[in-house]
Amino acid sequence: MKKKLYVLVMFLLLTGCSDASKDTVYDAKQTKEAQEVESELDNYSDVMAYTSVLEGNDVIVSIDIQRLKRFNKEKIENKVKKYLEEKLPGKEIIVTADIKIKWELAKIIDHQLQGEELNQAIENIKSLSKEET
Amino acid sequence: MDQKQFQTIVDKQTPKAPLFINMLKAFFVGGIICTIGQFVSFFYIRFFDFTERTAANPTVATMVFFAMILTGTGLYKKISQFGGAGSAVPVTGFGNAVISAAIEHKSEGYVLGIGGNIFKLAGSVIVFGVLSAFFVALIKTILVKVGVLSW
Repeated sequence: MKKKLYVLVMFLLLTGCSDASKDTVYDAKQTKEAQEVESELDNYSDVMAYTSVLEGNDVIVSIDIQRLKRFNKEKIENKVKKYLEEKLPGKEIIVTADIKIKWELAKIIDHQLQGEELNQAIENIKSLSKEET
Repeated sequence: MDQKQFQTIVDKQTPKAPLFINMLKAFFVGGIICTIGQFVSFFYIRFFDFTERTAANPTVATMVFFAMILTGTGLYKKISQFGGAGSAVPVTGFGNAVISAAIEHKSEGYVLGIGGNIFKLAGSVIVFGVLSAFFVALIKTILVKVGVLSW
């Protein structure tokens, strides 16, 4: 019984270990805007880490917020979005702290998607972020 | 002997409930159920097209399904005997209340037995859940209109 308990506790403790997020901005076309997004996102203390993908008119940013500040998730998302909209006028910007979007962006970066595949992945993320039900 | 005297004797004789231990048990059982729920939620986010917001619905359905299996096999009774409120407060407790009522009244037939009694225990949860949600939404709408909060 005790052994089982130890295994359970170890399992619960080890699930807390995960790879730390890195700040990444992926831009297949290597435009200047990537640096602007990066410099803008570095300014926020609320944002622990970020992953971003830029493609054409779309800028998708996934942010990691500190655990206790997640109560203000939407406020922080809107604040970051507003500042990015000022920096990059005319762009369609999505800022989210959702883990699904983060994983989808990480997939794009890992596979270094380009062209039609990248467009499709971005459309998929856009439809995911709009989904309410 | 009047009612008060009788009550004092009863209070003396009744063993005191170990409040702290019960709370600790409820904390751990409730915590473990919620951890399983979090894993289920991550499963849906990882392998299906669900976001954090939309994964809640299938997660609740899955947890109620787990509760159904545990209630049917009699395991949930043992868990709730140990965990108390820790097993009653999460959505699995709601599932247990629905399913145990259905099992209990199965012999009375499907329509008047199961259909008529399935929400006998959980009906109050739904009624007061809807009612409190209505009042919370009403208060929030007023606060947003006044300008104290934002959506």
